[in-house]
Amino acid sequence: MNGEVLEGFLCPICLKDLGTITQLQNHFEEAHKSEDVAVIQHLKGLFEKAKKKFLNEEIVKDNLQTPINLSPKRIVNEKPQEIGRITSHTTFFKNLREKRIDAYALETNKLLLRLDKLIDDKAPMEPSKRKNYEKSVVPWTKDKKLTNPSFEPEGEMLGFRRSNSSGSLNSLFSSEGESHLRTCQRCSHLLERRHDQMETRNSTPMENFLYSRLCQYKMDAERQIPQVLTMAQSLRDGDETYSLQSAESERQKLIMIFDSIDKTSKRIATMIDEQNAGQKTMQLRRAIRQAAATWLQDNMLGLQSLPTREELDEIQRRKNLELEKRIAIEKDAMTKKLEKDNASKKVEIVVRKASLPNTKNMQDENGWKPETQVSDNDDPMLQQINIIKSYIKQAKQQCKWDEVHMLEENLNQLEKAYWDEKTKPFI
Amino acid sequence: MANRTASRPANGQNKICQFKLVLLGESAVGKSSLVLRFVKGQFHEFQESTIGAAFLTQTVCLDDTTVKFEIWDTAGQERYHSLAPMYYRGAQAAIVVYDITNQDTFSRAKTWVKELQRQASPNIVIALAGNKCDLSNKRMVECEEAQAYAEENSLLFMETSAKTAMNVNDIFLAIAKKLPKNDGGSGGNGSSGVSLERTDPSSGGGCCK
Repeated sequence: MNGEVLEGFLCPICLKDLGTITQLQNHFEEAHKSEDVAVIQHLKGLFEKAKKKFLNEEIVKDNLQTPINLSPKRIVNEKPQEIGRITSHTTFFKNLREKRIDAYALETNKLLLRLDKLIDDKAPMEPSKRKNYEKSVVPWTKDKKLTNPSFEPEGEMLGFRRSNSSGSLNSLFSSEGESHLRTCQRCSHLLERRHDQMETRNSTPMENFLYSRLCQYKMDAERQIPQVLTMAQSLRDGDETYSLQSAESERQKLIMIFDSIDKTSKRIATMIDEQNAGQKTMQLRRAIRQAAATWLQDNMLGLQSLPTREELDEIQRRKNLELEKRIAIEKDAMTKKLEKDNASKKVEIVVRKASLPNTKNMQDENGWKPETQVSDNDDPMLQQINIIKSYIKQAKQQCKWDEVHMLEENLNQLEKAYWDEKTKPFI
Repeated sequence: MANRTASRPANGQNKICQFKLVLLGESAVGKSSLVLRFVKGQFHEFQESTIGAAFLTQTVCLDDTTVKFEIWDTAGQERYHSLAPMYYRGAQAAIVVYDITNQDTFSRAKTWVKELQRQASPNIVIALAGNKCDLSNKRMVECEEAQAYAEENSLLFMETSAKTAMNVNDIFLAIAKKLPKNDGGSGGNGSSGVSLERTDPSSGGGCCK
């Protein structure tokens, strides 16, 4: 349309102005009945809307109301969009790959079998016989036939290539007796591929080696840390179990291990990528370094420094003072108690010291008897278990380690016996 | 198991042997009093009745050996009888106590000896103690009778008094002397020819405690 604007009740198909809506409708139904019903319906709708607009502007209200009415409904009905159609090509890919691997394996195996035959000790060494033998194993093909391997017929692909320049070199062994091989490109590719495969299988990449070393260091450190912490704590408590020197050397050992972890992980992260290992490998190496750094941070922060010689002396001096004070207090209490006991003249208990010719044998101060705390329990076994437990407690408090051991042994037996009793089938 | 003769080097030539000893006998014959006298040098006129089994330790010196007794003082009351095997089973020595003023306690002592001979380690050293010999005016069990019984059953025998301390340390020392004090290095069976491992060979050799 050349810029002309037509107005009025135009028929959308023949563009004729029909004056009124009714006339246009009639015209349309009569003249264009055969036209597409959908188009007619659509136009009808348009006309209805236009009619409303012309008559009382209701359409405006309608338009305003419609979305408001619909919106809650739409929200309710709107389900999360589902993912579209998915086609997995993995199986297809795997099939292809398998076939290919099989083909390669088959060809390689055939090649290896032939090679085996060729280098077999039983193969004749005499040049002429050798040539025939080789020919019987591998069909020879002329060089020019093999210029383009993609055109090789299947059967000859694995053939050893015959040189047309020098007949004597056809043999696997040259005149000097050095072994050499003539193959087509395809076979050589297969053999090289196999060689590479064997190499990768048998060799450990540097990073694997470094990583296992890193793990070993970590394990060493984890074993060493508690030792150092115990020693440090013991020194700080003023105990004399460990010397400052030995604690220092243990701590130094641990720091050396930390250092090795740091260095090894750094080396992994900054390894030169000889094999073009790609993004993922580099990412992995960086992650290893990151993990090692975090581990170091976590473990080194908890590692308290050891007290200096002066601090240690001070700690021990204070501890000794405390100990002396406590002993004094206890002695004092003991004397008071004795005085009190004597004053009240105990009636029921008569204590007599044994007076025997062989008292020299006795180590009275070594005699030990824990107090028995009676527990209310009907089962003698349970009662005994409780008694032993209280004995163990007392033995521990008094640092009677031999006794602790004896009692613990007995407790085990008791508990086992008790358990056996409980689980014994009722007869 | 505690069937173990533990010895270890201490202070030069001294070695320490550890023995488990159990006291058995009718209730109120004076087992706890005997041990208390031996371990603490004390005597309580009104010793409380033992519950279950009490535990005490005492160390004695014998020539070049230090013997540490791990003593289990069992309750004489019948309701605790079931606990006794737990204690005599692993023991190297037992003292069966009776009251010389009470014939029934002597019969009970014989039953204990029989039980030990049947159930305890075959090499257990058993001593028979006729306690309360300070009360000889009330004596009901003749010394000769007990002596003869002890000889028949190859038991050590002494009449004791926890109250006066008579023969208390002696009976423990006699036991200590009779117990084999194998050298740790000789592999468990010393020249005394007594094996402590027979009942429970898994319980460790004659050394290392």
